[in-house]
Amino acid sequence: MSEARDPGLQAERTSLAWSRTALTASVAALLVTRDGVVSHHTELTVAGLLLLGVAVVTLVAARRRQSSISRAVAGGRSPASRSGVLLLTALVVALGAAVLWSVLA
Amino acid sequence: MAGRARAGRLLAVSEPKWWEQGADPDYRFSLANERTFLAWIRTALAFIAAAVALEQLVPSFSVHGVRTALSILLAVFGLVAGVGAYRHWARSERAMRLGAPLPHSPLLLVLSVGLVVVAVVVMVVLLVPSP
Repeated sequence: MSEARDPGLQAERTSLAWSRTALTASVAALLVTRDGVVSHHTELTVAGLLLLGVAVVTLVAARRRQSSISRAVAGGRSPASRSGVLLLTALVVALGAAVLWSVLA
Repeated sequence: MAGRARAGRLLAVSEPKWWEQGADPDYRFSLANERTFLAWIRTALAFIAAAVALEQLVPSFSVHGVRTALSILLAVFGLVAGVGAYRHWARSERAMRLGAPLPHSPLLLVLSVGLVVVAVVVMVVLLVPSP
């Protein structure tokens, strides 16, 4: 399979930005998990592990983003991904809420 | 298509009206908007990580309660930046579809002021000698 033309490496740069973000989210989820283990809050540990799972799914999606962008552009469709953006926003809000809960508990 | 719309309703994330309005923008602009969103999300995650690190790894400041207050403040900034990232992405995408001017984001000012407040509080607390 030949790579689609990607002037300015738009698809690749966007895919890498997703990867960076997913890795950062993994670190945040690991910190939440550690918080749960250290403070003996089982709920927080479970929440941290769940969020880590979502972050890993995001990392897999990040790797696939390059080809999904290339396909959309080649097909003349907009490559904007509302579901991905929503998923990531929800992940960040859940991480922030978990941290707030942990500090206030 | 119908199945997809139904799934969207179930998840309460049905496509907003603007998603189909106007014309598809230049794909490079959409992708630039997406990368800007991701940069804001990383900023939000950094705030959240800082909140956890402050609570878990930093020994208590000489002034009681300041560490917890700063930690809460940082976590709230993380939430604000995360929700603001989505809002700014959606408003920019909509503006590009309609050919309207790009929206101004209040996030820059809010988070800059917030960070200055955090820095000043930390500086003051570090200068107060422990009892």
